[in-house]
Amino acid sequence: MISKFFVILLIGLPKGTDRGVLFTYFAPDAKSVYLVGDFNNWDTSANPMEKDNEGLWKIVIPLSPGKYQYKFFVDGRYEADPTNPITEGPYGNSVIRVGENFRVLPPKMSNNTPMNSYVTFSAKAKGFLSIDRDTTGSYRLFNTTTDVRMGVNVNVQDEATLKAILHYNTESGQDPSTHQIPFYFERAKLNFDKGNLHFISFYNTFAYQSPDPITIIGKVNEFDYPLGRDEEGILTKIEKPASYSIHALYSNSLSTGRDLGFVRISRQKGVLYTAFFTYINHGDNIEYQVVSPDSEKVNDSTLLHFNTYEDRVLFGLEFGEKDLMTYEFVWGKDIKRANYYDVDGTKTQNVPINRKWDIGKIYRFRTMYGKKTAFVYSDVERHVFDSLFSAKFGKSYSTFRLGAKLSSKRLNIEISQNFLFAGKNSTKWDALFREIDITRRKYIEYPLMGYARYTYLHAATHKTLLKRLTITADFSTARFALNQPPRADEILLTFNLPLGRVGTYYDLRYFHIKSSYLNTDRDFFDHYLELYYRPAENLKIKAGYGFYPYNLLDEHTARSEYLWNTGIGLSQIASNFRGLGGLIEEGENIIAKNREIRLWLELSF
Amino acid sequence: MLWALIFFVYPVKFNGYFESEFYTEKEQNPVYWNLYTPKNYIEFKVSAHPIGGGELYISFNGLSNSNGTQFFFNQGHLQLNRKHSSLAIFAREDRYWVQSPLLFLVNQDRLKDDNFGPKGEGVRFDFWDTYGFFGTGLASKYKSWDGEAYIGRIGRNFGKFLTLSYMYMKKDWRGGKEPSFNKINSGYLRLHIYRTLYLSGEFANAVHPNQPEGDSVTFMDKSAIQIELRRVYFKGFNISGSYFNYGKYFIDEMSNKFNPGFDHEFGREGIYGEILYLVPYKAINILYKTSRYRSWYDYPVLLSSPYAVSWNYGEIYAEFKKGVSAKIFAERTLNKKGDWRHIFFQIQGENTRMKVKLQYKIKDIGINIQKKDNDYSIGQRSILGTEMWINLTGWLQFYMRGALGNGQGLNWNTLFAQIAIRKFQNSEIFIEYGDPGATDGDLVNDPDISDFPYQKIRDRFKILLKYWF
Repeated sequence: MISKFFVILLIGLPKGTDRGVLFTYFAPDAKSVYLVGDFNNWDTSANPMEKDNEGLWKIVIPLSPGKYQYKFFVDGRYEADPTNPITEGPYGNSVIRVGENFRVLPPKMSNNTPMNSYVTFSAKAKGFLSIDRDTTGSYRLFNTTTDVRMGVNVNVQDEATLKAILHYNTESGQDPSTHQIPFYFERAKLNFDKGNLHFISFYNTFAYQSPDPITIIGKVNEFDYPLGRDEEGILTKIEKPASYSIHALYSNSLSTGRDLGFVRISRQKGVLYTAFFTYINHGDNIEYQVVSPDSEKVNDSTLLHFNTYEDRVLFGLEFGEKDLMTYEFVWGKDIKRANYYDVDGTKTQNVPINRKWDIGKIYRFRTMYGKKTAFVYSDVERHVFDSLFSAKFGKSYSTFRLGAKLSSKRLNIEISQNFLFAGKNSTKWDALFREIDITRRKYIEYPLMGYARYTYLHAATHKTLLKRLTITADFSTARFALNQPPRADEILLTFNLPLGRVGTYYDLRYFHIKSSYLNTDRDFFDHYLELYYRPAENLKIKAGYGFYPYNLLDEHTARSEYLWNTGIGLSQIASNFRGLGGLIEEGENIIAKNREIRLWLELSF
Repeated sequence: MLWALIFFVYPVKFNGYFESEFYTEKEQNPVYWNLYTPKNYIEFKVSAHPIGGGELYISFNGLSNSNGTQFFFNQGHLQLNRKHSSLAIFAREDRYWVQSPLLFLVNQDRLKDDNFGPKGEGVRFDFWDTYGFFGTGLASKYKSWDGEAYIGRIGRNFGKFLTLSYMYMKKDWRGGKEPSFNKINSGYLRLHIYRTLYLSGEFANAVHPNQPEGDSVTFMDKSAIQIELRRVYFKGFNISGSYFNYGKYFIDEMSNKFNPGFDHEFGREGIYGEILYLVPYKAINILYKTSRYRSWYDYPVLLSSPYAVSWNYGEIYAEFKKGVSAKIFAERTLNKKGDWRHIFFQIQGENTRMKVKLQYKIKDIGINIQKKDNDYSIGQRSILGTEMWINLTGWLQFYMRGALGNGQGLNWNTLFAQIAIRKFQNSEIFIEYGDPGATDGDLVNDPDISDFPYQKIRDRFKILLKYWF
């Protein structure tokens, strides 16, 4: 076994994907690039490659297991793959070995070593410095950071695979006493596949998405949404396509300590399917601090501070026609323990005034009709409480949501209308908390008394003009129809203009928030301009000005993530006494002032 | 063979180093042998040169000791190399060297935020041979406190005849006295006169918050200048000399030389001379160096009038047959605090089996502490030291160095001995006794043994394993 185990670095080799092997060739100035090889009898017109915005030509080819020679046919010339050091033959053809499921294997060293077991490494390194004004108004070197992620991939006989990432970032995590920078184990995933059995163990990584087809309308904690990154656990799947599947999951949240168990058994016959699931959620510890809606004006002494521990047990039944329609019935119990406090803002003391248990019931019915590209959905839910908050607030509430989503290559539109009904004198605290947690929409302040309506619209499109300039537009709006209506509109426009190895990127964002309750009616603009030079596929130098919309740790995380981190997150709500609307303003003001100059160097292999 | 193929064919290299250390020392009170927690250290180095002139280097280490086991990032850089330029973003690396040949305005250690290892991070751009121009731009962030350093240097070579350059440096920090920065502007010129003869000059002006205000402070008080004539060659003699005038308030925190916390050489005006004579057809060098200057500081006190300092140094170095060499030097400094005289002898012999060095130094000659004729010295003392290497076999080596000190009413000593085993590939094993620290700065010239009369042999055993991969 050991003799078959081999360590190699797969630098720049084509990569395996779900659909085939991805070949790339970086040539921003080329007019046409074709992939040629012994798999297409060196036909110079069979496999044309497509160029992306920055001049990287790509094509995915489903290749069966075996060894192949290939080259790129670039504007009438044959070119070997410059990033693949393995060549063969008198013409220096590039060589690739492909295994099962389009997996790219290291080169075969001899006939006696099958090379199905190997270790590969990859890395992505970024360095940047930013220049910004200090309090006196003069420009200074504000920050320098180096960030490196190293990936280690282990494959054992194509049955077990391990992917792990080691990470350091000189900006964060430095030990102030020694000024040493820890290199930490960021995430890992171990897969074991044998026939219909799949076993996955994961640490701090994307974990699981339910096969439940209503993936668009559900709740974060109930799997219609992929489990977030901060999860560790194990998942076992037994699947026979078009027949049955059994999923069993245990997952623990690294940030909140929440434990979650889920079992789903489904059976498919023809296009019809039916499924049963059970779900147990234990120990969500969530803190909320919200301006009391019972108060006439914003005042620190009217804040309420909740600390809840939620356990939930659900049983569900689904049936429908696969990829067309789904009906889902859920019945369950909510078991809550909660402390809530009056907060004295001036003395910054929390005084517990009550501690209660609550056992409530949940009834839910959901349905979806349509294809993945266009569908409508509806969602009815009723919660009944025994005692929690009932002395002060209502005993039950119901929600009804109706939505539609349309997705195409160029356009994505989603619209939903959400209604809340609650008993007399109810302030629907529970519904409020749930909404904040589920949608994480920064513009929700709170639903108020009685009846509430919430409209959400999101539309996104992109278009390439003059063969080079790509414009992306993203619009979203959220409105409450309440007695004190808050409203938020957001438009994001991005322009990408690549010119050979250099290019420019610009993004402009408009954000408007209106809240009579907070006496706020503000417009915010921010923008970011970037010039880049990309001398090679794996190397990029960038200079940017403005508010950098993506964070270092997770590339292309949207601005909302930034807002979430800088001022609008739940944890910030817990430590800030001004309510959500104020926090939004604060976050936006931070962004508006953030006009730094950045210089980047990025390298990956 | 397979490994070699991988590492040479692919543009990525993994290297590493492992060290394991066990040591025990005899504690004095109460007397017992204390076995310290073993230390294990592993270091990984990754370097990659993907296409396009890019370069990535990172090193990280794992350390296991009494604090537990942890992994840390050591240092790294991302670099783009071109034929006549390079751009690097670096972290915790020694990349601050900028040429200042006469005044030494830049010291790497002052810029890299060096306290228990470098912590500074920054960007550096260099270009050269571009229509005769060359230059450097550097911006770096101090990471353990809020401040930055900037250096810009641009120059031009006019063939071999003339070199001119200008440099701007700034160290910036937050708060405190205004201005909260130290700024230097400097110029350098080098003129080729004849064969080995060059005339060069460097001038710099400083801005620092500690400079006093007022008409009595002149521009030259905040400036430094040095002019040097190097290598007048005449019948075997090499003669060089320079004139320097360092202003009283020329403060450069990015250097050691003009840094109040280090050498504080500001407030000096004088000359320096050097004569080197290579005796024809003999392996004998005779060197004489001298410096005479007036100093305004009895540091840290600024005096109302300067006092004179003279320094003289003479050295003879000779090599004989059969690997034997000898060196003698005498040194004398006359300053406000006294007359300081030292003399040094060394004889060294070497063959394939062993190498032996013997040193003897008499320091502060003529100073008698009983008479209290000097408050700044521990009195005349002599130090005898020896160092030897013996190749016992092809893979087993014995090494030893030790010194004896003899002063007025005091005796002191130190010893370090080591057995090195290099039997196994890529590895070394050391078995050590004693304290290596007291004599590691050229044996008897190390201040730890020449100026510290309380050194004693330490009963300490250490086993050290080193492995490279």
